[in-house]
Amino acid sequence: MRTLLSRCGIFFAFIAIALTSESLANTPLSRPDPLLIEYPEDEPPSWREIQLGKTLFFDPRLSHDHSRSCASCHNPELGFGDGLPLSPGSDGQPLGRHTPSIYNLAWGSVFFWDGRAATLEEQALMPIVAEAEMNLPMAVLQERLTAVAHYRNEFNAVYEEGLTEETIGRALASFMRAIVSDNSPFDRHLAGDKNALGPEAKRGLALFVGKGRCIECHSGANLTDDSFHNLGLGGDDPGRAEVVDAPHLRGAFKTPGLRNVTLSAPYMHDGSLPNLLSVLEFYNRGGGEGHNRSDLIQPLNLTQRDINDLLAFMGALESPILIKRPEIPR
Amino acid sequence: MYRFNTVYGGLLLSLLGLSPSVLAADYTVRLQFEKRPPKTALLYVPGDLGEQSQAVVDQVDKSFTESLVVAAPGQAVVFKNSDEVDHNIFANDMKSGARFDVGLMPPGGEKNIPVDWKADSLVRIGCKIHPKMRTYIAAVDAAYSKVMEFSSATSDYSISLEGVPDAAAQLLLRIPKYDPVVIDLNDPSTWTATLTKKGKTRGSFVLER
Repeated sequence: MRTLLSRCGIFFAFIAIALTSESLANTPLSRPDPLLIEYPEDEPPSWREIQLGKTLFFDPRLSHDHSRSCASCHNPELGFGDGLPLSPGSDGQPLGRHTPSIYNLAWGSVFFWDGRAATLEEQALMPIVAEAEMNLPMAVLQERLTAVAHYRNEFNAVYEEGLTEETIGRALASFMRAIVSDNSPFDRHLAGDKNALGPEAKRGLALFVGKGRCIECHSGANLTDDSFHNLGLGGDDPGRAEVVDAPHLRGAFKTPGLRNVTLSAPYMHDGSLPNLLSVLEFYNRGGGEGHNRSDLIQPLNLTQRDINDLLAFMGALESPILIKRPEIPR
Repeated sequence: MYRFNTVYGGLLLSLLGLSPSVLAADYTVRLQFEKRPPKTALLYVPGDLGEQSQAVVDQVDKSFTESLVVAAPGQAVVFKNSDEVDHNIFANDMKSGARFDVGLMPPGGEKNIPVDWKADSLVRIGCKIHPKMRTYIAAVDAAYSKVMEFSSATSDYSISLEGVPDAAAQLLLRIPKYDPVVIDLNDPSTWTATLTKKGKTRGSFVLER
């Protein structure tokens, strides 16, 4: 287990060996390539900026009643989730959707289950001001942070503009981009380590790209096409359709990445499936019965051994990130 | 890391009995990016040559086949789906007024969209289903154009511009999110420029003949 410090060191050092992974970049499955990350300023953030974002991420000042931080729902000890089907909102009632995984968002193209945020900077601010979530007006947050010497100093040191709504988003996004999982047994397998995967996981990989059809949506370095599909889960959540005014996308949600997927139960946008076995059984029977289900979702005729092998492959995607929680400045 | 997409008046010159090489000039553009290069850019000479080839935006393997397409204002862009999955191309660019929705397009589909938005604009095109997909339409009248693609691993580029109409007065460089660069071809003192993005320096441009 490594700290985020060492993780980020490896992350940036990864640039030096990027050429070796570039040959895999266009294959359906590949290792994450730092050269493909699109940074808002066209270059990686400074270490100090990441640290500032990390402190904000864990600071309960970001919620109306000081009761919760980003890490309350995205708890690093729980796979950056909270283990609940639906996290409690600011009024204690369950939110409308399951807390999504935030591993390897550096490569994301749109954010949230419905893709309503076009950038990570934009995404980072939305839960803070959302009444149902952290319920804190941005002006109040800026006042609170400005009152803290540590934040005043750090924002002024990192950004020409100092502490603004935009730079709060940039700091949080910089930290989230540093949450990179890229050293799983599967990554080592892709890098040529013939012993990285056991026989079950190897069979699971073959099923993942073959009979199991997982690759239809869970493709690329982070095992997601970052696209929107309706699995037939049902319910009245419009999903992507509400964001882009496209009725054919009603009930469609963004494919989640599968890195560290074993750590982030329960699953699906509504948190309705408690574990990976239930997810695989769901797909094996051809998804749900809800309206508008994607044609990509079909019965798979997987055997129990197939399912076990796929579970072994899911396990091979695990590369935990241990984060030392920062001291919250007074 | 760049490719040719030249549209110039060869046919017109041939009709006049002139060789294109007689009335054309060759240039070299050197681009240097200080940070991560953009994915694509367009160099073009403004001008109207009348009938131009149809602008086509196609899709294969959940990607657009072109990183940037030049379309003359007032004409139409043909959107095709040569992929194996449905797509839903759209644009929503407030600045240029480019707002269209091709709608759900199954494999084999095709639809014309008129370029009825602001001229001299560079508009991002996306897919509602697959947001990683990205291409651009440059709504410009171009007597000569060249689309370039850049690698994130390479910061220096030398690009040959062959057959630029000799009468061309201006050369424009358009890069998504960057500030436009306008070069006066009749004034070599303007042939060096700074590449800027929202006013911040991001690289340099040098034109040589």
